[in-house]
Amino acid sequence: MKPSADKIALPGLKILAIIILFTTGNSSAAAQPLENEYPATYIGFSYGYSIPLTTLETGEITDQLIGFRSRFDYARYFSGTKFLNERLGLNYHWQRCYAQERSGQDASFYDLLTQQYNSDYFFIAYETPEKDNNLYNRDFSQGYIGLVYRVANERFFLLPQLSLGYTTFYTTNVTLRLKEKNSNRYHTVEYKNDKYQDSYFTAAYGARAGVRVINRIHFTIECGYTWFRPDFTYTINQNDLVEGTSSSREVSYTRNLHSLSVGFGLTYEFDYNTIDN
Amino acid sequence: MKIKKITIVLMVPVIIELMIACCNCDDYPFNNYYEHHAFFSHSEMLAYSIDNSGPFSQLPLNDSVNANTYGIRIILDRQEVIPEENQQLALLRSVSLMQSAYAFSCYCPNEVFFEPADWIDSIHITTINEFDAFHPAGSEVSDYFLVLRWGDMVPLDQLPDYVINTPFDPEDKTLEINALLMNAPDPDLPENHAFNLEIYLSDGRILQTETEEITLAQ
Repeated sequence: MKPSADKIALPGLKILAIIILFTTGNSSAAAQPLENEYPATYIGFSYGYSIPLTTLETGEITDQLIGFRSRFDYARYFSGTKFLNERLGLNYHWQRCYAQERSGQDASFYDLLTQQYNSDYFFIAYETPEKDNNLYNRDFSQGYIGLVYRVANERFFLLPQLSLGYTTFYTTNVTLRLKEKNSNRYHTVEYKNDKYQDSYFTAAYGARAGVRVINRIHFTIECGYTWFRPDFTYTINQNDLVEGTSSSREVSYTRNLHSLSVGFGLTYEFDYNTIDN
Repeated sequence: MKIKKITIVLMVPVIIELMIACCNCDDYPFNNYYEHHAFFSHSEMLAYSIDNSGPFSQLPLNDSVNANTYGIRIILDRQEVIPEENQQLALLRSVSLMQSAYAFSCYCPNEVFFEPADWIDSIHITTINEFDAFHPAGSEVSDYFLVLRWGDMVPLDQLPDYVINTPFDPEDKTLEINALLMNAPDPDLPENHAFNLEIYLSDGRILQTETEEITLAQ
């Protein structure tokens, strides 16, 4: 059964309600920092959009076997910052990235196979390892740890941060068995890549700006720049089973990927420390 | 006291049989080899013309098939052969007290290990009518056929390996093989064709059959 729109929105509202209750329920705890205090800890979440400056996609059919899209939305489900002193802190955040599939622009792998082979061949078998059944899941994860600097007053804060982390995504192998129409000739086409799941070192630089909206809660906007370098190659082998001949070609996915991102969210501050004079 | 002793003595063979019967089925066939060992033999061969014009081959809807998509479906019948040792064991059970021990046994009936009693030495397809300029009536055309095997296409002379490596299934004793024609006959010759198939077995027997005559249209 399809969940209703109310049910989808509920978890987000619940979290917001819990935070509001938590921050307003206890008047002393809800208080803003005193003049000589700073919040040592921030936690928050945000939602944003990534704009690619360079893309992984090559336009080849193998693009459809990669669980990554250069254009994606992200949900930063957890972001935590611990300040070591008034200015400098450590930050960790983890985000799930959701590929933006646009109908008409991003046909499925099977659709493209059909376009390519359907006029001359029958599809006899379409084999993919059992673990790769979720062929069309192009969601992936990113996690970062980094240094944060803080510029803040009672109402606003600005947190520039430099982060290092990883980007993890899956790739899939497929073997196709084809039979020529009006013929007894059979062929196989293999799309192979040795890496099934891989994580790539990722560097990011960005900043988060917040404005206090209620007691300890800030509304934040964030922007960032990200770089990482995937390194894998697909080999496409075509075998004519009658002649015993084969041909192969490679599609390289080794390239520098640069992207910008923008997002918004909420941040909660607590754990006030006294500013050392 | 005497009755107790007699009972114990009578129970001894039953207990021994129970211990023997309760072999570890996972270790099969190395335990209790002869009891679980059997053979299969190739007993009969049938052959039908097939139409492979679609994604999968099927029997022709009429008596004409496109020559480019023609094939022969070879159906090999395989039968169980009970080795003499097993027959003796079965006979022994039928006349001895040990038979009753089966009530307690953990005999693993499905784990019978089948080995071929005979194997295919060679297979030959000959054309009954004139096929082309190089193949008059009665000449061998085996080279014109390929067999679809485990997603690969192999010459007919590799069929014996395929058959020997295909495990015998007591539930389905037939083995189906599709031999596909890769060279069309001479279009100037009459279009009616039929083929004779012969399988030479290692024990000297020859399985022989013919396809029905069919029109190979071009």
